[in-house]
Amino acid sequence: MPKIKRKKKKHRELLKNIATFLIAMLICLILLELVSRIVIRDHNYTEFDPELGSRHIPYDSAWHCTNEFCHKHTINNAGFLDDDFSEEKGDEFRIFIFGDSFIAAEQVASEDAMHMLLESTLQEKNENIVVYNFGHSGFSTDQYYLSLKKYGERYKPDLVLFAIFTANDLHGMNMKFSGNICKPFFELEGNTVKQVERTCRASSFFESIKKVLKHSRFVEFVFEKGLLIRNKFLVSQGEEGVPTAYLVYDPDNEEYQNSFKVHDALLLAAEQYSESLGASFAVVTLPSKEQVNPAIWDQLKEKYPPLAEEGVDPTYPTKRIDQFCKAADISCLHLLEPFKSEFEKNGNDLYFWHDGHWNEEGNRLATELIDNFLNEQLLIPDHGKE
Amino acid sequence: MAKNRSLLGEFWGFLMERKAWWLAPIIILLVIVGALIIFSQSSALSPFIYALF
Repeated sequence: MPKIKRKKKKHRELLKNIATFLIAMLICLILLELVSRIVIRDHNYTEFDPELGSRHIPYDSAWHCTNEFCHKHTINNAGFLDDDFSEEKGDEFRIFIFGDSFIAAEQVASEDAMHMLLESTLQEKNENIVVYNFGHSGFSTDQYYLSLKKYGERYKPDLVLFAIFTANDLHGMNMKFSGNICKPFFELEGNTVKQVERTCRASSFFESIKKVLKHSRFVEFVFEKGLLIRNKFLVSQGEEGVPTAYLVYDPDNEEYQNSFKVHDALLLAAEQYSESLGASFAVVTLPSKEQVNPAIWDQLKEKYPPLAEEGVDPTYPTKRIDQFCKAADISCLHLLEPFKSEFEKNGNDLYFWHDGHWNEEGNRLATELIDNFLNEQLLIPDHGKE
Repeated sequence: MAKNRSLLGEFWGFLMERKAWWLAPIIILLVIVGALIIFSQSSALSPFIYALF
């Protein structure tokens, strides 16, 4: 066979092989997409928000499923996991709860979520009380403050509650720990806080991926799992192998001491802003499962020996915030001790073991405690009188 | 490790010999999906770090 003919044949063969490969890849991707749509019910209903870092897409809905639970949630008109919000306000007394995934409560059915239970409990005494849930998974105190500023004037609160999850809110608002996340951060300027000027370089990249995600469930699956793996690697970057999130329990950790100072200033700023809206302000601290269940804390100490050192204390973040609340005269409720007592007395699991968020029982207990707190502190109007 | 290499080598040889290029995407995607599922599993002792932007 002449050389040119042989070359042409080889060329044709190569093109045939590449075409076979590409067609097979396309067929596989189509099949995976079909399988993903049948098998995977989860779907990410958040998008990038230049002010807050992330927001839920209004009216979108999705299943939130793991081995421990599976619930469908729908986002309301304002972008939150609640009934629709209204800008018109009559005789209502509005309680705004800002918080993270514990408040968003995607792990339980919406009727078992704390904000829903609290609203119906409060309405038994005063039907004018309405609870607005501003919870967003992954948010920290800086984002609660910015959310209050973004939505406060529009929806007019009478009482603002900041639900601080002590296990990671201080982690999330520290640029050294969470600077890779595209979200706003604050720093101290004298006694007040100033927002750090930063541009999220990742935004355009992630936005373009998000556009594809809207159409492909398989790409969304790959993207979500990829983020989880990325976060796993980030977690392992803690000092002496301890995940940085757990260093919040070490009172000598300087980075967390800086976070606490910014946190104090943010709470003061939130209180002042609430007052400017004519609303009261209060703080509720939410404990993590390792704070409530001593067996989990023991396992952590075994896994990360620096946590067993003297001075490291799982109750430290709660104590630190309590000191600030007393000094600043802010009404604060700490769920840690009652959660611990409930666990010790009845052995009730208040958290999903793997997921780590409150289960139905945890939401119910939190509701009871917050209801008592609001009544005792006279933060809500009298029975049906107002 | 050596076993793995020979398995991969055998597979590569099979692809070359049979020119079964249509098989390659199936294997590649299976490995990607499998790795994603395995590596993204979290332990009950992992701290709360959210998968945000």
